[in-house]
Amino acid sequence: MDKSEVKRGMSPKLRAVLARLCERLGPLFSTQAVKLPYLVDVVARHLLGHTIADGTYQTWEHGVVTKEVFRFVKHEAISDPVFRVEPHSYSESGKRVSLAGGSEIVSILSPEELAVVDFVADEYGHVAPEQLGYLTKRLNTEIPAETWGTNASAAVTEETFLRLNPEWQNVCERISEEDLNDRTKWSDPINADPMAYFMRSLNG
Amino acid sequence: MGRPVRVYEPLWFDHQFRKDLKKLPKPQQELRLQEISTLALVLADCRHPTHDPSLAAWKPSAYHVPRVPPEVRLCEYRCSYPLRVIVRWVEPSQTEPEGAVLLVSATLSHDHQRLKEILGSHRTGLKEWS
Repeated sequence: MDKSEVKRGMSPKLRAVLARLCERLGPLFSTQAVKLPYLVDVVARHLLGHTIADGTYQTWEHGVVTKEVFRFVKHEAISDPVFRVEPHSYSESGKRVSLAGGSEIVSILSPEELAVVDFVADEYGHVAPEQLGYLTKRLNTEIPAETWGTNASAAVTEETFLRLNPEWQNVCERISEEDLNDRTKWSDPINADPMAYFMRSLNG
Repeated sequence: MGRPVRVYEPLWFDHQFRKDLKKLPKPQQELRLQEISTLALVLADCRHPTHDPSLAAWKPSAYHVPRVPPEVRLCEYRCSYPLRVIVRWVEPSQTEPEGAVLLVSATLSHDHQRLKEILGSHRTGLKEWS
């Protein structure tokens, strides 16, 4: 059976992660609420050797989405004791998630886990929602364009973590912006002596 | 000579790559360039950009980037850590009868030093951190 069929609702740890993100950042747009837990687990897996939120991460049209958070925001938030979900004026379908009361549930996170969540909040909590979507796509460069929007599984691996590197993200972004079909920007063939070409490029 | 190997000049050996490479001792610099050179020549002669056994050492994979048109086929090659190379594989066509290998970008920055430093500052802020 598919993992996503087994899971129901947000786990206590996922709720704690979401609560901590709200504590740290204030009200979250739904895009942030569904994407930041993914980044938390990408970082946690590398640094702690295990995931924290352990959500079901899927390849939606605009990037990776934590399925349980999406379902909660869309259908399950009414009368929740911890979270308040409200529509916001910036988009017809968008919502905002904030803490309704106390955030005691955060205490189930260990200090190490808390540090990872805070790191993600501080580093990625202020990235524009659209850019957050692109960022999660750039963490999954093996996934072809047509797979985004099919709710396939997104990776939480060492490779995913490596791609969080700012320089790596920068390389991806620059490739996105270039017209690789523009042959005026292609060099002549370098087959005869690539090493010599590279040395010249390096010193030129 | 197999298919031509070309370089996408605006991105290849950009400022950051040169800076990172020049931080290495000279012999290391040459080893890295030699590895890219070997990869380029294997790509010139191989049959497939990711499945050809001659490329297995570089653990090739498809490389999909948002907003790049689907006909632009990019692949990623994992050289000696942390060197990575991104290549465009061009199938034969009227304009490129032999096809081509376009070296697009190389990066050496995968040590996450900055990430570790930031996380370290979070850790020190926690009294209970063990």
